[in-house]
Amino acid sequence: MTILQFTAILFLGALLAGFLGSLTGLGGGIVIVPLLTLVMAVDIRYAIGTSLVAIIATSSGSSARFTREGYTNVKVGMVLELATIGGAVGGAFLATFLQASWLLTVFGVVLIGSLAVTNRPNRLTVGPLEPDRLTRSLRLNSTYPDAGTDVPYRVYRVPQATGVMIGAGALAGLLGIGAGAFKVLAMDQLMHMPFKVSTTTSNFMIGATAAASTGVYLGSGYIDPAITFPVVLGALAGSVVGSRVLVRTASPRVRMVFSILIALVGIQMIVKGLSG
Amino acid sequence: MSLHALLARLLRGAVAVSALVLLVAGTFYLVQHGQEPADFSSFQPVSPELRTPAAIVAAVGRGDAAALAQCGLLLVMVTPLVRESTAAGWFLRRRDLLFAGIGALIAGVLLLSLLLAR
Repeated sequence: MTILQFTAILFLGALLAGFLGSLTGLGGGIVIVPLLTLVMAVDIRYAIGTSLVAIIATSSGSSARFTREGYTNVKVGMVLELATIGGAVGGAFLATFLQASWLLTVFGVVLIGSLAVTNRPNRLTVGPLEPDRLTRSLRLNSTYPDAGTDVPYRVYRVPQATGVMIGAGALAGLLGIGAGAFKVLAMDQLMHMPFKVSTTTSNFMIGATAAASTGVYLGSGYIDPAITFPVVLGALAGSVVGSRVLVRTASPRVRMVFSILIALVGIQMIVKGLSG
Repeated sequence: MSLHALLARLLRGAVAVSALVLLVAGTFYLVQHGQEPADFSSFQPVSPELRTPAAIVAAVGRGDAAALAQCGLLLVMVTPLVRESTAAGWFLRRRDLLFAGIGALIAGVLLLSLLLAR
């Protein structure tokens, strides 16, 4: 296969990955890495580097829209980014020491874990809500727009969420994913932020988290323009289309079908990783 | 201008510019390398001139199409850094030194992680 044919297939695949990632709410990375490794037979180290750059692009594109609409809590995003970027740099360094088969196996496990988190049926209740001094001193409480009015909300348990964010950042840096499912879980369940605010703030944080680890991947030679440029352009276009379709259809059945397909991909990655 | 509006405008512009550079650079790259064989099944680190920002910019100056595409990717990678610096500046103008400091710290880490790439 020539570079030209490879580029054309990658662009179309990334278009589909960006579309599916946006439609399932899992983000592009969790689809791009399996697409590259399982379908295009690309080494997972190139796939992780490529995916990180693609999710910075898709996160920046969708953040522009969500931030303008006033859902994103920028202050919460910045405070938690301190934790995610620390984890991301650590995760990226760890990835440079791990064998490809280990990365495949861990990716498969995290992929299935992300699905379980994203498709959980009910909101969990984690302990009683108590006034948070840190939230008050950082002035993190805010409002979000709903039906023409600004609805106020409170933010809780910043220190506990910070711990989860370090882990989410490490997974992002290690595997080239946004780890948005885990970030949303912490903000929605622990911090009790409104769901729409949690998802948009998570999306806002994904770009900076991924950027923190790209330096390690760039310096280690994992980011090859021949693979990365068609994937970034395809994923960006796919995520724009996916987010528009999501607004119109948002069918739980569609999400479930794609989630099952992605779970099968996760199992295939574990099998491939374990078989070396 | 509100912080939300400022960041939204910045991100929209950054994505548009990066996508345009990537499109032009990618086309240029395909014209130069499109007929070469594609095999990425075993890992070989990319050449040193595509691995640090300084080396990439130097290679662009020599008309290297791969470096030009890598430069487009570098624009994508620095977008969060520019966003954090802009947010830090916005908070500084409103004398919110705590969040100006948090923004500057994040931007500093992102800058260091890119500059220390080797």
